[in-house]
Amino acid sequence: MTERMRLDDGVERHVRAYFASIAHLRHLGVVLHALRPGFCEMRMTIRPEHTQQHGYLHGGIIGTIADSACGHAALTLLPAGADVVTVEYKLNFLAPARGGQLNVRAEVLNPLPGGRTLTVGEAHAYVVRDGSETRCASALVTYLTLG
Amino acid sequence: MKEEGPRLDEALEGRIRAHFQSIPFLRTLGATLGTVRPGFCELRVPVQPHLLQEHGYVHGGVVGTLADSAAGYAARTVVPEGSGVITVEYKLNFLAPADGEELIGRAEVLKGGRTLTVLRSDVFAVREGAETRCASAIVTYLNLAPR
Repeated sequence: MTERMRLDDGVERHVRAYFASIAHLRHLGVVLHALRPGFCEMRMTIRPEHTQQHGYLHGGIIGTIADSACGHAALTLLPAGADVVTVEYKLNFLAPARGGQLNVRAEVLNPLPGGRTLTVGEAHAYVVRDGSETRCASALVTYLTLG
Repeated sequence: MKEEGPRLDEALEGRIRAHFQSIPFLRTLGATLGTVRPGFCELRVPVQPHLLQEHGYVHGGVVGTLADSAAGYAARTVVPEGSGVITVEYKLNFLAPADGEELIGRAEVLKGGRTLTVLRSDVFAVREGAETRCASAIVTYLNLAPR
């Protein structure tokens, strides 16, 4: 299982530097919470400027983080220095994102050491309210490896 | 996508514009509501540094937000008076880097049903006056009965 494998130090440094270089995620206050081969979890504290008309988290941000978490999960399986771009994603909203925090966990569905041309990832977004998580959206994301 | 068409009822347009103003996250993005006609809506986002990703293009999540939101306001032009709408799902393909001074989202209703509205939404990047389509989405909205 990919969960038990340890991430190469060079790859981890690359993925963390990649994350740090994304101005929009920094602006939203997204945190890279966990990173393992083929897996990434991102978290964000929900603030008033992130909300929609009902005071819940705006769906656009859920899509943004789902896409990004899958991208970083894809990068963990590629050599240090690798780059990926999103080809497409399909996002389903499952429940209102009502709570104080968003946790997004993404996993690569077609892991292969050394990577692939196309990486397919699955991301699930959970909103945390009173200490318990509710899944509010799920996405399937396709990434293209560049170079 | 046609630029011409019948005018929207003034009261409905006023309600749509007021709704748009009530979304904190769209304000965070600096989005403005352009043309709204029956079955059609255009949204604009000026490109700012905090919306960018690692290559200096607009983050795909912002592109997705724009595609989804433009579709939402196009959907609002065709649902019964007083109805709300909520995104069920969307499938977004990225076609080119979102590189430019401004992004424009244009959405058109493909089918306005009793329960579901299906839309096509395109996002264009404007650079030195020329538009490049950078993403296309098919979006499904659920019509919420008037309360």
